Amino acid sequence: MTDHPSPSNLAVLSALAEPNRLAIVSLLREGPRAVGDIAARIEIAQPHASRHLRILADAGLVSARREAQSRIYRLERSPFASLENWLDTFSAVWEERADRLGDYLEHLDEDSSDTRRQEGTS
Amino acid sequence: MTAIVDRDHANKQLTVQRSVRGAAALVWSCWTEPGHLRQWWGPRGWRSDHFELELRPGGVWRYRLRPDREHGADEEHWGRAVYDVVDPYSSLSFLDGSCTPDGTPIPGTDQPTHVSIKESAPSRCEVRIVVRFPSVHALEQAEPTGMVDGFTGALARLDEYVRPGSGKARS
Repeated sequence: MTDHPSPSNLAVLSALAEPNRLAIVSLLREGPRAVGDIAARIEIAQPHASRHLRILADAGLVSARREAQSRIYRLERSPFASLENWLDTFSAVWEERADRLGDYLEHLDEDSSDTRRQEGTS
Repeated sequence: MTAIVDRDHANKQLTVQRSVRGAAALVWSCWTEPGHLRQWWGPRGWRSDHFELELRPGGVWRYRLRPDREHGADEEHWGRAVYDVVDPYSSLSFLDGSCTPDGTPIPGTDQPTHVSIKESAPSRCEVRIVVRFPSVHALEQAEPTGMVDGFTGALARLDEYVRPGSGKARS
């Protein structure tokens, strides 16, 4: 349990904070792909794709294996799991805030003349 | 009543949705009037003071968060938000940032926050809060400010990034 973004989480966030790399990560969710295929799908030149993939690999987000003439990239699960743990702590802050608002409104409601309970089914 | 939470990691976006009692006009007031905000804005065990709140696009909302318990000045958090969308009773968005006690914005701390309010039944609303995470640069900056030193626990620390509110108001 980490209190704040660990260096590795920062590297992950940093790597994701670029539209092409985010697109690559989204694409790889469908499964492993070769560099050329990735470049074609994202519509960027292959050298650019390679550069983005290297940054993603440095952050641990993707890994590569060689297959014949090409390198096949796939997503790695662990950085996302780590990021998720960290994001959970953010969620808790906002859940608590929403709860405080909810509690406050419950009290206001009790004070008001309209005390009808309306448990809407929404 | 619990909140529904959705974490969109790829887009670094957090959505918290909760059903609350009250008509849309009242819920709107809770988000936009200092008298209401001080009653709930912020983590439990904290209070908030609101010094400035000009509800219009471009208007500034400035506040301070501090622990109820005895604390040092360096444990206080000063927030400064700038409203973007102000659509009464339904939609409020603002760039939520930190500032110094004299109100000077701290660059790179802005965090886009959007609140939508929808009446789902008489005297009941769905409140949906969407927060986009600050840039990595902002996270890196926030660490050395020391603003959060002394806060207890993980939540309080992260609070600084998310920008906390606190308050148990009532003096």
